[in-house]
Amino acid sequence: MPVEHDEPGLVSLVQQGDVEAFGELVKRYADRAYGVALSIVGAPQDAEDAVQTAFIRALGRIDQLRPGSPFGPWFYSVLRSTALNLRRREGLRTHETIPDATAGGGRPDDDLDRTLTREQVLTALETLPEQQRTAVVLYDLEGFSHREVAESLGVAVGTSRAHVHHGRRALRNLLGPIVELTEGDN
Amino acid sequence: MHDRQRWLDILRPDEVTAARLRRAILDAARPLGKRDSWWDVASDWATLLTPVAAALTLIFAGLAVRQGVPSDDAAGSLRVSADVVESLRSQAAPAGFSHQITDDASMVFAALNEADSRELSLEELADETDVEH
Repeated sequence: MPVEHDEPGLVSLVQQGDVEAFGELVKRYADRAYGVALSIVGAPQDAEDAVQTAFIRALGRIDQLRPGSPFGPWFYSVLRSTALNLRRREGLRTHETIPDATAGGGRPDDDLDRTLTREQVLTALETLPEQQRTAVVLYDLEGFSHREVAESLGVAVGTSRAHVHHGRRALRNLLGPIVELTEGDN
Repeated sequence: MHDRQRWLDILRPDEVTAARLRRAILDAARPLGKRDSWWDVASDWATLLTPVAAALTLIFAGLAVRQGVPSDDAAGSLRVSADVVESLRSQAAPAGFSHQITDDASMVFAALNEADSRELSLEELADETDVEH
């Protein structure tokens, strides 16, 4: 069963045309991919479109992934370019398309839910340069290492560290003490 | 792996959105899932083309047999294609050809008659000679 496979095993099965294995990758990555896409395109419907398109593109190019390589960083590079293309093509303006953040959306901590909305977070993220924003989201939402962030963005590891550092500082200025950003692990 | 920033979880989809998203992805991916290898494609084509190849083999084999073994009535005879026969039929005869034939025939018959009468007179002459001897 695909569920019992580790990620390289799943990728190998997908490369052989196993749809169930692909479904397992979707299960593992779709939710987090949605957050990354949302931080780029700003609107929930566009984020769904970007994630769906990115998964289909990834499936079409799965043979490009070398055996044993991690799926995540490679997939997020596909997702990022897909979301950026979508945003460019449709002339999306995040601050205009962000819906009422209290409707639907994520499941943050209860305390944060009372004080911080998705709209506030997206508006703050929107002020960051795209690479900085994606670096922060991948590092802080996905829990990626700097090496994985760098691989996803196609930049050096040092550049990834700089992006996360500057992005966090900007977010702290925008969102205030509500957001406790731990600098120690950067 | 380091600690994530929990406040960013606000960007995650709710359960309904997540389920809808996963279903949409899998629905779109299912037709693309079983990508055939070159061997599968070749096998499919081979299966499809086998009856055609067999039919062509039979046809060419039949033609080869027909050309290799001449029929009894045709053996040793000159084969003339239908096109050649048709082209010969369509050729017009030279002008005056029929008159020439008629004239020639008259001359032949006249010569034959003359020859007959000459033979007759020679026989008569011989008879007369015999009588004289």
